[in-house]
Amino acid sequence: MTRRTALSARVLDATFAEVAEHGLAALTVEAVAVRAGSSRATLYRHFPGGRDELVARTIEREVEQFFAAVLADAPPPEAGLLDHVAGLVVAAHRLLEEHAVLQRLLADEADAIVPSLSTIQPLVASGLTAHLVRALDDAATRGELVDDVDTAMAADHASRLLLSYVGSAGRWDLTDPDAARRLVRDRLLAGVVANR
Amino acid sequence: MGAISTTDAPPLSGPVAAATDERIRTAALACIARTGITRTTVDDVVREAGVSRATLYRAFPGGKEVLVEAVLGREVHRFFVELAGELARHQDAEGLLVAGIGRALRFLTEHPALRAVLDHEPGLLLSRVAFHRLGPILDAAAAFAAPHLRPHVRPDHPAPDDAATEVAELLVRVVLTHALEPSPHVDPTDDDSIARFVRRHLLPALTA
Repeated sequence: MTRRTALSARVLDATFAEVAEHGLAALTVEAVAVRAGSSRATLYRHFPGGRDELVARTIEREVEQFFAAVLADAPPPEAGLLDHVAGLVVAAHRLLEEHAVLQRLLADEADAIVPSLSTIQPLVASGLTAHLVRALDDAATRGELVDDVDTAMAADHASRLLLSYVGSAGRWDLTDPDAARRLVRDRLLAGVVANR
Repeated sequence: MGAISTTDAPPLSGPVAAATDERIRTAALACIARTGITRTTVDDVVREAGVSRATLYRAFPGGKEVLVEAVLGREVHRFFVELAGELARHQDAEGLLVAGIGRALRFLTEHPALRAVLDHEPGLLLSRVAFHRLGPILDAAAAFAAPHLRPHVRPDHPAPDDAATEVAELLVRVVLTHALEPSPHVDPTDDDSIARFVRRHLLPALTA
């Protein structure tokens, strides 16, 4: 790792830790600099957008890590599309509930994360959709799908619903893998996966 | 914002008061359609409406917050009334879904104030429907839609009322996500696009 990326990593770590400890509204570039063992000047050189850029980049990294953790937790796509996507649902729901910092922000500073939400949402959606297109294409070659599925459209649809249900489960118990599988089979991927 | 209601709060009584109420609401919508909710001020609205601040505060004690609430309530009510009218015209499941989804999406994507809010302050709307805030919205909207779907739940379903409600929730989620973030795959202005989407992804969910 270069010195620059090592510094960036340290700064993003420090930003996350500051928010975890003091919340988002109280975050200052100064506090992050101190925590990262750096100076305001150095920080502004690497993050010219200042506080907003620190927050945005920290969120991006958090989303990447969240995604990686969810993928690591779910059965791979080769295990079968339904099981894979159901695994994504269960893992994402659990990891979201367990994300202490996010939960505290939602509880205490819901309005403060408003600007960030509009940047996170498209980020998450496009990453998930891209992943699901690949998973659907693979499933198609394995003969798991009905004929003539537009996998781009199906991935877009499943991605939107997955994010909706994981964010707010409604009447579904997403701690239950069987329920998650039913949700995926009868809702997210209804009309897409072949009955066998 | 308060709980979502599918009925409208009545304006002040008397024809002059009602007309003034209407003028102020229309003006508020016009202002919001220009710059979104956050940047719209009471002064903007009274200038647009041609009334005094005192008049506005008499009609909407509490000022901007109460006014925005009332305007939102009226638009939500209008949405459900128009949608109900559309749904009543269809007896078959596919026709119902195509008309319902199409109408709902066209209303939302073509609504000038809603478009402005999405353009100027996208996080605002997102935060009102994200995570635990989605629940009450789903409940109210699903309660509206479920009776229309009930006749189309498969006859051998063990819990058809629950099924209708749960599919209604699914449809509400679908409408919401497409209203907030339009998809290249679903064009609200193209009935064929809606029909393809409904046939492939929504009808199978209704009959599952």
